[in-house]
Amino acid sequence: MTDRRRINGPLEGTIPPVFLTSSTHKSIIKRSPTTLRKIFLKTGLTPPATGSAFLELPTPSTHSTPTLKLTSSVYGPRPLPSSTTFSSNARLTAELKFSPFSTPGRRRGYIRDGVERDLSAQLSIALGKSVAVGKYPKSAIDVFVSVLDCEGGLGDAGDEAGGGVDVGLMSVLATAISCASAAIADAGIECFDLVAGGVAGLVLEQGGVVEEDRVEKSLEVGQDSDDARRGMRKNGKVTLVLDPSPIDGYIILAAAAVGYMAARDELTLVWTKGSMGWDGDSTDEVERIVDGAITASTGVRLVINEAVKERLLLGLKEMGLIRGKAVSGDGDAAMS
Amino acid sequence: MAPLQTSQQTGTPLSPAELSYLHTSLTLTPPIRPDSRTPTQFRPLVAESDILPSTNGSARMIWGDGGECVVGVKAEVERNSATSVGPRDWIEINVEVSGQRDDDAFLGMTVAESLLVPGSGVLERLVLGERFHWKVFVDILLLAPPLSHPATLLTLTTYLALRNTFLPKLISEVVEDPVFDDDWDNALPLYPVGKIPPPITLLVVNVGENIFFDPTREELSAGDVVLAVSICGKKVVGVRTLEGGSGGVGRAVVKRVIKESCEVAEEVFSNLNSVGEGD
Repeated sequence: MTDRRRINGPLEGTIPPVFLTSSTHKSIIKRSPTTLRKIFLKTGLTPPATGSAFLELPTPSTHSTPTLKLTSSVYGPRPLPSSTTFSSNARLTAELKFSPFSTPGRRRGYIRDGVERDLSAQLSIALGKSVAVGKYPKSAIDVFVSVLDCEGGLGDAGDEAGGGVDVGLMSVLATAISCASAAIADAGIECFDLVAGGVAGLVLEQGGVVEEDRVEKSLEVGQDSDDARRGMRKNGKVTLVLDPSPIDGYIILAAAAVGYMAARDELTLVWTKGSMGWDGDSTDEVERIVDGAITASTGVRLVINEAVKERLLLGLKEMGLIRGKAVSGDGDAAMS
Repeated sequence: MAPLQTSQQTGTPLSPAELSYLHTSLTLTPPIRPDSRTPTQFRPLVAESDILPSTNGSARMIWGDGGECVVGVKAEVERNSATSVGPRDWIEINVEVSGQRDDDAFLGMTVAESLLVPGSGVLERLVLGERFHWKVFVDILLLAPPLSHPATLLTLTTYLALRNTFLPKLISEVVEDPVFDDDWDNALPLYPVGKIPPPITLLVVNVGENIFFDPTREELSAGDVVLAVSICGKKVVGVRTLEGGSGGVGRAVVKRVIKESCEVAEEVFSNLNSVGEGD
């Protein structure tokens, strides 16, 4: 006789669902350390803004691949409110915000935290030095960057860093610079040059192969990176990795992000952290990662050029100044 | 935007003519600084350590222009929690600028980033057996905000405080609850002599061919690029760009700034280590 007064559970019981952990996300295709990832960049996707851009890195192979996605919108130059004091230059403000759902683990709040304020300040420095602010007196240029998805996390407490420095924040900043720069160009604001962001890191190499197997071990034993350092002193072999991704699984001991204006060969932003080992001269390795980051940003610059050119040709075509098929492909300005 | 940043960007007390005069005098060879210092000379400062009896380590520094910084380091025993992995949050840094509502993100981030540089060995010294660890709170108080950027003052004081931080000696076994030696004379330094010292951050401004250390606010506004270089021992562990100047700089300039800060830092370290030996 079954109990019909109550709602009973299934007789044979249930099995709780088992989820795969996020650490199983590994980049399937191995890149060589000097290969940059493909970038999708398209401008003019936010109609109300003066200029806008969307950037995705790398171009996703499937829907579920974690990628770095950002949108950037530029408003201005618009007049400063009458309450502010006279300014002979344009005031450029940049604001970077992570969406609440952008990180894989912990949800991010709506209120800007220290990390976001810090990245916003660095972004406005990198962009402010490229815009001809002297051309726009008494005006404000506002740049908003919103991070929709940041692949492997940002190195918050609880994320796996494997005893090295984490490059998540650096690659977010570098791509934000590239994306915002494309948006500024889309807005038609006069610049000295376009800024492109690039990241490079130094990793240990053992026996000619950039070691990745050690990552697993170092997650369990915190001392591993120290052992690795000692090993490095013996071998003395370090490799430069361009455009490292948090999901590549390298132990990065020193990393740099730069904002670089390729046509003028000038830097607008330098941010490095970490160091290799604790003896010997360190200025060489800082120079090496800065040079590496510059190489990476030169590659990114080609993509920005393509995206800006595509937009320009589209505009000319709309005005009837040129005929025929102006745009090739779907704007996937890819590079090898 | 952060209030400090906009006030630095636009609140320069100099007119365009004054700015150009300053820029010219700083680009000369040899350069002339408004206060007639040499390029690598710091402003005179008063430094003392071990001033707060209820802390594990403390220091205080006063610039000539009225800027004052007090740093207190406190340590607490904390149980290793299962949820938060990583010893990354074992050191907590708090910057309080008097007269400002929220702290500047830059200052806290620079100190935290350079303190937690991997491989410096500090975090290993905070382990207390299997289940406990020290949690270190570094509280930085900036009284009377100095007229120049406070980064140099702040990190030099933090260096001094951390150098003088002592933790009670553990006498219990690894598996037991921690019990400490109650003789304060047996306390162990957080940064023992001969190990990697705490980092410092130097503010460096580049004007034309010249590089200046410890710049004043006027010099910051006339500079081509302002870099904050963090140095730990003899190694550069971090470089950051600050507001200042328009247009970029060549990579050779950045490299030269880094190289020279390494040399100057050595002198700074030896001077800081002699604080407290005089009295």
